[in-house]
Amino acid sequence: MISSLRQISQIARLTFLEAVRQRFFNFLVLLGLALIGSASFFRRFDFGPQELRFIADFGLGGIVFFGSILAIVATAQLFFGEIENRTALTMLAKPVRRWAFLAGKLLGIVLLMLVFVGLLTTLLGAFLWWREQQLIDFYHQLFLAHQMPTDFPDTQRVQIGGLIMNALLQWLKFDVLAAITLLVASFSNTNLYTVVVSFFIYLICQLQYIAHDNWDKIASPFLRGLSWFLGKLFPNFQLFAVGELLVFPAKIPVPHSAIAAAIGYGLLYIAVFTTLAVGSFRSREI
Amino acid sequence: MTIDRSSWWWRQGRAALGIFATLLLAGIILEPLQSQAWDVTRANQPILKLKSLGDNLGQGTLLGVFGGFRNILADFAWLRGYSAWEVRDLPTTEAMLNLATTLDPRVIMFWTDGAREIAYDIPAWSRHENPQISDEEMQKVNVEQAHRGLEFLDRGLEFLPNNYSLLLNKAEIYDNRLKDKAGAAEEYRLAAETTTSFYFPMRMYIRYIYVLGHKQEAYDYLRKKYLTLPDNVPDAQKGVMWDMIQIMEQDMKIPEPNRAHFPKPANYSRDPDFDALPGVDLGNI
Repeated sequence: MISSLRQISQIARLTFLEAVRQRFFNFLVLLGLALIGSASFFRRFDFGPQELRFIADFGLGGIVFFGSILAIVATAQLFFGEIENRTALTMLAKPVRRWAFLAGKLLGIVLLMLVFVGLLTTLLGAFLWWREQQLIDFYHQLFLAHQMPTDFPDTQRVQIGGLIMNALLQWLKFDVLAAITLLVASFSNTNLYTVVVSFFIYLICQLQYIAHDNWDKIASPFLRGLSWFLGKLFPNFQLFAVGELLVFPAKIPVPHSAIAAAIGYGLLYIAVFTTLAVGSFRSREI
Repeated sequence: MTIDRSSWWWRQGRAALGIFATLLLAGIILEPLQSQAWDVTRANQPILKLKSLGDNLGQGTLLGVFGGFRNILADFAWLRGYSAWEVRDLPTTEAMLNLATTLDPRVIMFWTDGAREIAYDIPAWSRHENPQISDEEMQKVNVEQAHRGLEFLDRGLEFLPNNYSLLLNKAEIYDNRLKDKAGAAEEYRLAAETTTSFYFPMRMYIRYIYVLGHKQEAYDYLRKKYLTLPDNVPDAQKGVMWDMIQIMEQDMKIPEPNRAHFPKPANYSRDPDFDALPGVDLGNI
């Protein structure tokens, strides 16, 4: 067991190092950083106290967009890189179990996503904090000069703790997506097929809530059954948006149990998809 | 018929069935966790009315919306509308305003800025584009656009009920564009009731209903609200409110015993340009 854990950590380390050296990762990080940095352009507009919400939406949207692409493409590339370069054969010829190989790969990608989300969230948080201080000061001066009926509203203030929690939830979502991609990669023959199928699954997971919310309102028994089936078959990625409600004070308070449920949901789905990927990879001919 | 258990179809079919069965089981087992987080997310998210997206559904909008990028798409739509507004491109400005508010109706600024563009800017563009337009026609455009601005804000109030900024903007459109004091007074009253810093809309409401002839109603409302005014908040203008009570009592000839007899706030002296109740002859008051 200890040797398996060592193998997993070695594979994870190598996967992570290989991933951060990839141009694709660096390109996406730069794009994400540029997108968040470009939010300073919003100062040109008079958004009022809602400017922070606008910047946060923009930045979080960028993290989700580029993060989703990275989770799928990096997982597929790193998996097929080992297969195509025959390094997987060399590795698996040694006493490395297939499940350890996959677990190591996933862990490496999980670390990669942590770095990605961490970098972008840190920049976004710093930018929001800096701009918040400026806006608070500006509105306080207006308030003192009686040009505003109220001071900067508390409802528009960024909650840094909420931003970090949201980042963790998004990271968890990317990890589930990476595990799904690993499952697809475990039985597919090409990188391109894996990327395309994983993107479609990602979209279905984003849309799953429609089936989940509406199956009992459909009259046709066949469509109703299909809707129920689809609602149960794919994880609901939209529920990770519960984290976005934490960045600013929510209209309806978010209970801790909802956050815990989202975390538990994500972790269990990672375990399910990884187990399935291991089962599928076992019978694969390399 | 015998089944060839070594065939590709058998092996792949069995593997696929195993994957589907496991995922289905996971979905059923994890349903309570899903509901717990999803119910909270759902309650805080406005329902998307796809019909409102209209012609904007193309261009990847639908994919983006369902792909979980609703907020960022709304922001981009608003920015595009802003650029269109800068070059006075009416169709694009209106289309993008509608798209932004449909995608993310929680952003107050989309509604307030959009309403101002509809009610104030678009009529001004008409004058700019057609300098020969008669005053009558211009007035017609002003009224039409003011009503469209009000309808736009009403749509916003469906998502943000009793929102101070939206109600205040409605009041100002009634006031500045339609010159409808009764309509403005009602919106000022609603705005005053939504916030703890109600001073400005409260003053406007009292002033308008008073000059519209509802003197007793204005007086009673002012007396009630005066008791809640803080001494140390300049914007509350407690002195001015005290003065308004004196003016009303004299103007309405309220008998001495029925008057409020509130003490005069310290350091208050009437401004020479005082016009808290226009149309009321201050005379010796």
